[in-house]
Amino acid sequence: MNKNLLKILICPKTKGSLIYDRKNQELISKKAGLAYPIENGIPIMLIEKARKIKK
Amino acid sequence: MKKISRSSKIFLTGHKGLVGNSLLNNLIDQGYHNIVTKTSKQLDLTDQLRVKKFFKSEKFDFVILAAARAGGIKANIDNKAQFIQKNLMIYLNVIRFSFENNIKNLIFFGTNCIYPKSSPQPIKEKYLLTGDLEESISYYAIAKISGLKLCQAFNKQFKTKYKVIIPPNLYGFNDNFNILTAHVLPALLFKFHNAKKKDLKSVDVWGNGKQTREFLYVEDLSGFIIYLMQNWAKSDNYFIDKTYINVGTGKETSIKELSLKIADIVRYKGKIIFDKNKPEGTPRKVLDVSLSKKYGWKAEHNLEEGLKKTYKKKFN
Repeated sequence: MNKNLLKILICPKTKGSLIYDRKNQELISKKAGLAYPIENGIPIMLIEKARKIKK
Repeated sequence: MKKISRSSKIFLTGHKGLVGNSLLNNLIDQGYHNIVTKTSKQLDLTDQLRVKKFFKSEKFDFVILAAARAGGIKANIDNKAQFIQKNLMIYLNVIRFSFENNIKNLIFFGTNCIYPKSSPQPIKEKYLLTGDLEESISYYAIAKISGLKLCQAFNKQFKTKYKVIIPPNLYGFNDNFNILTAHVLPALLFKFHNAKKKDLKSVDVWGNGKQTREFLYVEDLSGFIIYLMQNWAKSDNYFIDKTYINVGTGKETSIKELSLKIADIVRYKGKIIFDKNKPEGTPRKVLDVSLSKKYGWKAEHNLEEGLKKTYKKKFN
């Protein structure tokens, strides 16, 4: 996950920025309360595949 | 700005290929009657001098660059030099001489393999050049990216309207079905049809079947091009840098699912064997098509419908 890519990635739900969780291989949208999975180095930016997290 | 009308003089390159042939038929159906085509024997697009003279003498209003040296994964692996060299030469000649002959409007085709191999999915246009390319198709991809950047440069510097369309895997009946050089969908259609005909016990599919792809029926791509030509000025608001846009279904299918769908359509009841030792390419590829949707277009055919039409026309 390179820095430049992280700058342009947005949450599909809120269009807001994301936090990269390297350990769990997820991209967190605090505003949406969703964690998008990164599978084999590929971020999956689909709302239906995201894990709900406590806001 | 000059509009594209049904009497515009159009140069359609690559009219014998999957995209060009479909475009030619659709353009004629829609009443565009002033279309010029040339086979590669009649006009070698890699020959700079010939292309220069041709453009100077013909005075086109509009150019569609559908010509390319293309192929499936094995063709790319075996012909790296040819794939990058020929494509670079074709795109440079056609785009450059379009500009030098005052042609303001042009359409060029990219491909989904221009995006990084580990792109976030679905792939948005802005992910271009943010990461490494998949090695096997990187030579073809670099040539396509160069063509795209050439269009973008002319647009920014000289206010031309050179539009670049990025489709996913395309399929249709006028495709290459040679199982060594073709893309996955036509290769599998051929394999399953052949297995059914010869009553073979099994069909081998390259890779483990988990890779996903997006498949767009070529007639739908032609539908988009017609829509674009009729909504030309408006496209500036939806294309990135007024230059490029993804066009597709936005839906992904695994190679395993594709194999099962084809087996079903062909009515093949034998075994499907996934060969992990064969090349399988990028793990996942699906385009984000929200811009093209906002622009006002959407694909008509789903995969089953497109497969049935292709199979019927090619093999029945």
